[in-house]
Amino acid sequence: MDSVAHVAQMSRPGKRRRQNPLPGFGLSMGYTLTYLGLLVLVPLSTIVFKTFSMEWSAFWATISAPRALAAYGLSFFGALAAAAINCVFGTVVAWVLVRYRFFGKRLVDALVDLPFAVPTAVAGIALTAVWGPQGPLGEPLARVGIQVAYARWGILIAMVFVGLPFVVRTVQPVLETMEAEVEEAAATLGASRATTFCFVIVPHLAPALFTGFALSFARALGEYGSIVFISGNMPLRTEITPLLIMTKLEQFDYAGATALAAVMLVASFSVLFVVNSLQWRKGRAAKSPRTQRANRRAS
Amino acid sequence: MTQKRSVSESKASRVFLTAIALVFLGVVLIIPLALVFHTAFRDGLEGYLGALADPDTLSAIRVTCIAVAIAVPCNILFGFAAAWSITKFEFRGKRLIVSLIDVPFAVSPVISGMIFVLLFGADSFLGPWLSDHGIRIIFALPGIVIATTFVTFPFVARELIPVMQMQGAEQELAALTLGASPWQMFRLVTLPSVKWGLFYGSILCAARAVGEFGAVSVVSGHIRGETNTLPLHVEVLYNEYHFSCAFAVATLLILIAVLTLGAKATAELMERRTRPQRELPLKEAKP
Amino acid sequence: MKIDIQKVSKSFGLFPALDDVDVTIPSGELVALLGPSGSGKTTLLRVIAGLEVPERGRVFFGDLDVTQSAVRGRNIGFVFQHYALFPHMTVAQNIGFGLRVRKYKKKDIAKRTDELIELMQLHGLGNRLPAELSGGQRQRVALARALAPNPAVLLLDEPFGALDARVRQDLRRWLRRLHDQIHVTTVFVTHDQEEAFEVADRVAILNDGRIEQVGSPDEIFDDPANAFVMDFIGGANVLQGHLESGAWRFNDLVLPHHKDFGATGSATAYIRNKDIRLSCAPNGSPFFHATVTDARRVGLVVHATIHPQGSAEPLFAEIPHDDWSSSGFKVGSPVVASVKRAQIFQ
Repeated sequence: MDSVAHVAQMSRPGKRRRQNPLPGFGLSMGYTLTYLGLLVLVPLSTIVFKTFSMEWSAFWATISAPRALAAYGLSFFGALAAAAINCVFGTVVAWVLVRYRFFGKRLVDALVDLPFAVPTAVAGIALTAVWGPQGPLGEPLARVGIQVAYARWGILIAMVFVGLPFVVRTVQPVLETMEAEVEEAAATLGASRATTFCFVIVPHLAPALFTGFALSFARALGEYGSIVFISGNMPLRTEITPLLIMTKLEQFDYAGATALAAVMLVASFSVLFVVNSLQWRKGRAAKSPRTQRANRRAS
Repeated sequence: MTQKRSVSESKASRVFLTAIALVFLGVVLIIPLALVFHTAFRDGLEGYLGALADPDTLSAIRVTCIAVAIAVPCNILFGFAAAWSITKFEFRGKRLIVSLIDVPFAVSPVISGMIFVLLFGADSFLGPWLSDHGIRIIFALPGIVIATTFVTFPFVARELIPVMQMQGAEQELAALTLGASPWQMFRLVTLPSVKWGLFYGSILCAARAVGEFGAVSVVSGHIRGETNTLPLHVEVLYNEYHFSCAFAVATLLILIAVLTLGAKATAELMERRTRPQRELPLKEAKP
Repeated sequence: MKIDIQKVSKSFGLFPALDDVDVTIPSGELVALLGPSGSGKTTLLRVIAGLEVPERGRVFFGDLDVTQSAVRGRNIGFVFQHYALFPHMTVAQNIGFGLRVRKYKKKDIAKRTDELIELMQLHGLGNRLPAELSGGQRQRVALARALAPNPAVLLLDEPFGALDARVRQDLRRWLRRLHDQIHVTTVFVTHDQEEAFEVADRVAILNDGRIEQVGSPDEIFDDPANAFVMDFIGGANVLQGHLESGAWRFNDLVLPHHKDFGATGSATAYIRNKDIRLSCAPNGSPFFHATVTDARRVGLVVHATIHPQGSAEPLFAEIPHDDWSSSGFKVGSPVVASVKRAQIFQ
């Protein structure tokens, strides 16, 4: 339909008639495209050019070096584990915030967004202080032989921290709008609470949970600020991919950094693409004002 | 919103679940941030104020303010332009533009900084020309401003788009039928109807601009007293084992974060109060 | 101000919303655009307002060609279906908006606003926000806002569509009275024929982007231009018959007609339910024999179902209750059904 209208308009080049009486399309569209072009497309294209200016063998050597592979693995599995943890605890938090009454609930609700608002560097030093060998939580654990900060556990904790709001804020609105009748129907049919939860509530939450999982995963994958402080940054052991890129940049190895960045971009865009296509498949139903607000809150 | 439900869990499992949620949030969120304040005041109020009054801290505040003062207005303008064209008009490629707006969310902050090094750095296509003309962008203030703008540009647009989408175009059309000029329409109708979304979006944009670390870290060059922003300054202090100073500066950033959350709560409250009279179908205007 | 619409066409993609529409709206009249959904009536209204630009054709206000002029230059008042009140402005600010953007003095705005609040019976609501009003009140605020700058033309899109039945009734009569008071050329869109006939001086019936008929409610009711109009008005029995020697025939029913049809062929007769009379013997009107198969009283009339002899299709008749009870007919009674009036279309 869209394209037909377009053709119909094109076929009368002499009489260009406004289709929409609202003003400012040219101006706003022009500004938007210029801004996106200069700020996003041109800079991002440098990665493409830089990558293609590399020899294939050099590129492959860089992205398949043992240090790089270790970094991908750590980033990938760390982000995966963090997203999984967030799915479990984030759902509990969302559930409690939607269904129960307790003192200070509104405050707790607001605090969920803290990881979103607190600068990552601050989160990094705060988490390190807590989980470090002298920290209030790190010390008791160190005594039983578990090192959190400067080890992989620390990376996991930082990734959980930055990803938490995504799961809570995608699951919460779905729980809010869920009809009580569905659960009541399950109860009248003789289902226990646990059965109802597993077979009625979880399937209903599944799409939101998946979105929250993916957003949390993508965020953890790219996270840098909060992790550098707590991870210890040991090559092959606690060095995440963004940090490896940073290291290469500091050594002015721009080609190497770009190659790794290209790998990361492909990974994060794939995640985003999957999420988006799932959201579009869920269709226009998800476009109700209510879910829109919800999506906005989740962002 | 607590819903009254006749079908619910037993009291014991409710208490149990609530406890899990609170302990989890406590361990992951509250204890770390509380510890920041605790450590910041380890050397007493004097030490705290001393850390804040340090010339390098003040310079970091100055650099941060400059970045915010440029990035936020540009991104507000962009937010309006993007939201206006996307929500009030039909055109091809709309989805692509919406996806492009999300790019900074999908890209690691380190890469966000790196692309500007590749674009403007000494090694780049533009590099020789820039250095011939004595223009420094990377490892200088302009680079910080550009990287900050990049990382924070989606926030205002992402707040405005759903609000404007929900309101449709009818109010603006009504203003035009009543004889309003485009500027009057914008100032008297569009702007007031999105003001709380704009307010929260701008605050969020500013807060993120203040707090951005990874991208700015790549382009700044960490020149003390010159190209250090507040988060970078925290890093420098921390790496030099000035822990209480680092945490003192960090408290400033946490306060900004808490203010942001306050702004969000206010905006949501106010928005609910002036909720339009009906749940609109999404597009009122014909294509 | 007279509105002249000449050969206007407009399509959305492949869908022709308006197809060569010609219509004139005389100055000072209250005209209804009536039609089923998708008939183009709202598009026509929006073309008059300038909210849509036609692909072909012209729109004149008086002698002025406004086809290409912008919405804000047309001096119209437009009442949106969902009112589109500005939610952050009070009732008074909403009403005064059109004057404010024309840079009127504060004093004059206040005066005109008060006048309209009075006229619209909105006393004491001037400082409320739209969210604090009932549907009917919002409707009147929207109307007041549109009227405040003294528009040359008032356009209303389904003005009563979002209201419940009672409020609709009241507002309809009130709009009619208001128009008699202020006499501004008014066009409104509706899909409810009762509304159109009750309120308007003149009704334009649209279908598939074309005007089917324009006329006073009487003209349309008594002399529908074609089968679509007849169908749309409804309440009629539809009989397929054939033409023979200047008359339309269906079994023993013979209806003379004065139209210029071909000599033979099939044609459709529309007989309104209320135009069928039941009696024991023919009374001079065309008639057929039938059997009553059902009769139900609905208020002051009786809805009777009758089966003509030699046909499986039932017909429906509406008989005043008094006539029915004095006739003594029951279910099963053989009757002579006479046809007072019929419309025949080929």
